[in-house]
Amino acid sequence: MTYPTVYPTGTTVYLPEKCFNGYTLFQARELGALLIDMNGGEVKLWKGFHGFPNKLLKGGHILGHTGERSTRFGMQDYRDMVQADWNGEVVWKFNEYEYIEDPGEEAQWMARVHHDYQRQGNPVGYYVPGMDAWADRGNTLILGHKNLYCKKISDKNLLDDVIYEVSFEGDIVWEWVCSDHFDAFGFREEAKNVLSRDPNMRPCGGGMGDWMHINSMSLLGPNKWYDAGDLRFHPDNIIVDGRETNLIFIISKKTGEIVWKVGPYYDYTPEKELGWIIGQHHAHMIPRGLPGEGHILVYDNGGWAGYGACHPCSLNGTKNVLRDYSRVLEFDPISLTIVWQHTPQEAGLVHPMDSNRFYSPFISSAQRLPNGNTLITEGSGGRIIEVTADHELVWEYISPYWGKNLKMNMVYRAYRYPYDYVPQVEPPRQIAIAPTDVTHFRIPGASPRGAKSEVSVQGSIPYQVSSALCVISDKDDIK
Amino acid sequence: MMPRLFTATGCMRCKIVKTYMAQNQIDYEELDINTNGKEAFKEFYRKNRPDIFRGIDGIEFPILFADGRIYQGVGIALAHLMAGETLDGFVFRSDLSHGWISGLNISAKPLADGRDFLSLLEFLKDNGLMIQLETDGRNPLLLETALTEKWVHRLIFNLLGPADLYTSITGFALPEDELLHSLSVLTPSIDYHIILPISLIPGKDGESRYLSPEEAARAAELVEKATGSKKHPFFIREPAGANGINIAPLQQADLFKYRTLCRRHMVLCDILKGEQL
Repeated sequence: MTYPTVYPTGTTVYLPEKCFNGYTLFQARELGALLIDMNGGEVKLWKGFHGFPNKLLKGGHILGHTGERSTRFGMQDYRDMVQADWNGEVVWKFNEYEYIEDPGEEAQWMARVHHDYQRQGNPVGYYVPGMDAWADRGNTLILGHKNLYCKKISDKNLLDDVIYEVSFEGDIVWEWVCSDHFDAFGFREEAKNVLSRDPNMRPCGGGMGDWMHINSMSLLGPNKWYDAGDLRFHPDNIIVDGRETNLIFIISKKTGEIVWKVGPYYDYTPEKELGWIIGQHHAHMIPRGLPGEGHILVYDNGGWAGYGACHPCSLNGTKNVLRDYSRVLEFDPISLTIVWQHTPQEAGLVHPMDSNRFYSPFISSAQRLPNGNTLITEGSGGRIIEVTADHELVWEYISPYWGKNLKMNMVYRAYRYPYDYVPQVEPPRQIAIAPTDVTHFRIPGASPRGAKSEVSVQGSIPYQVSSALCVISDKDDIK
Repeated sequence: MMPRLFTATGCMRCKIVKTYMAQNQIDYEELDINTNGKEAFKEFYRKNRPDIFRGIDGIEFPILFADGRIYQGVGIALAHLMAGETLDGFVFRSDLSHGWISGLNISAKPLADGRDFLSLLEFLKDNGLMIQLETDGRNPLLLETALTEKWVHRLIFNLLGPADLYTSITGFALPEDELLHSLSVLTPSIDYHIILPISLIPGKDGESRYLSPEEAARAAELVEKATGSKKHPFFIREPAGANGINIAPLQQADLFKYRTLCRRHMVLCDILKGEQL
């Protein structure tokens, strides 16, 4: 999060022998769907093809959207769900979820898809050995929006989250509406009070409350918990997370009921073992066949989220929990204990003074790779990294694409796929890039390190191990 | 025996019935349950408890007791006073309050002369009630008159299916041109909803079946044909419990097929949930 004015973009670190080598797909800001190799070489650009997110299918097909609803009337409503081939030809499309007539805009059908979707064959949308999403058939689960009123939550127009399943032929065959399950989320009275007054009102369309803001939706897939008899983890069940509420929960595909959840509060057992998860993204169960299978992997953004008590940093009780660094958590869904995490500390930063250097207060994701590494999108700064299980940074890429409308190089979510997902091109050369010693890295014109004159002041004593800064750090021995 | 009218103090609907009876010089005995009729009503209620409706707001008044029968509610009482038994089926219990009245079905059965029903609507409107009217498409001329005269504040159009299925569903035939006529009066100037209930259709062999998605779509197509528009507030209502009929209930997922096919003609079509309207 803390960037100097000048810094390199593209691939900055690459240790091929320690990486899960392949292609990385992400939505380059206001450019299109970009597929890069490990050295940052741009293998393919589906120019102008939107992606919230984009996903690659084996064979070189890509999923995404042809555009977004006017933001004067909709909030993150993408028009359609489209599958395009390597040459950009549309081979499948769905948009008939809601007929939209916005003033001054062409009336049209829209999928109102946002944040996530899953094509049958793969539970999570990223590479899992033996579980490739189908490119020529199968249903697609879509996370969408629907405007409605639910007086139990608020008297205001709500931008509610829905999940619907559409067949390859375009028939909707299943639907789930979030507000129908408001009572199951366990909100305290103070949160209900705040929600009723301000359900995260957004200005578009005359105002609408994006009260839950689900930003991730995937299937559990086959897993050891269900095999052991725990029906909450049926492979068809769906796990989602609500950024605005700090909730992560599992929906029964059969009944629509909430069968498992963590949050919205983390101040009681067993959730308190997790620490307070805030504004999280991409919570999913690590699929069978990958290291950590059955655990929940989530990018816990920090930032600001939640509904509850008012305090000086939240005068009306909205977004009332805050933290200025991120964490990637892998936890056991039964015991709710953390089994792996990548936080500022594991990233080698002094905590908490330097923790905001691992921080994205919105977007972002984490993908478990077959070799046990984790691909992390630290989204707000356009940084995609691959770290090993013991936290070595083995690949780093900074998106060089800043938007013209929104001057950020943000990356919503990146995915890594094996080379054989794209038979159209030969696998690229892999050229190692050792981590740069920035203490000697200079741009042209800058003077090298090293004083021209050096003296010692008599009586000076050595620097201390303890940082002894204005605030206590994890380097201080508080015992 | 003189009709008895049980009223409540300050009851606007009671006043409407009293106004009608006064205007038409109908003699009656008024018993205000808070004053002179307190004991009489207690006794009346004790004797007729099963026949007196009690809603969430309590007992609805007025209650007219005439010729040994109970007529509860302003609509039902007025219908009896205006037309005897002619309007049986056309007027039933209202479940709206706060200035609104429902329980008025202009299509209960074929009605050659609908002057009594129209007079009832006009009288209710003139006396300050807002009217929610129901139709299933029959009696299009009456519907057109009621809407043209602006006696109706909200219309619920229960579209039971394509016209050729009306006989099977209701026992009364409805020519397609009459259904089209009724649908053609739907304009943005009125507040209306079209509701397509997924009805059970008795078969010749005694087996029943649900209205199919394709038949529902044909009904939706009729709306488009009659109005020249695909954009109407159009809702699919899932079937009520099939009492005593051996047929598997429709699943939630089954309803999506209805919605998908209907949306080809009615783009705003959705599935009705609970008390959504």
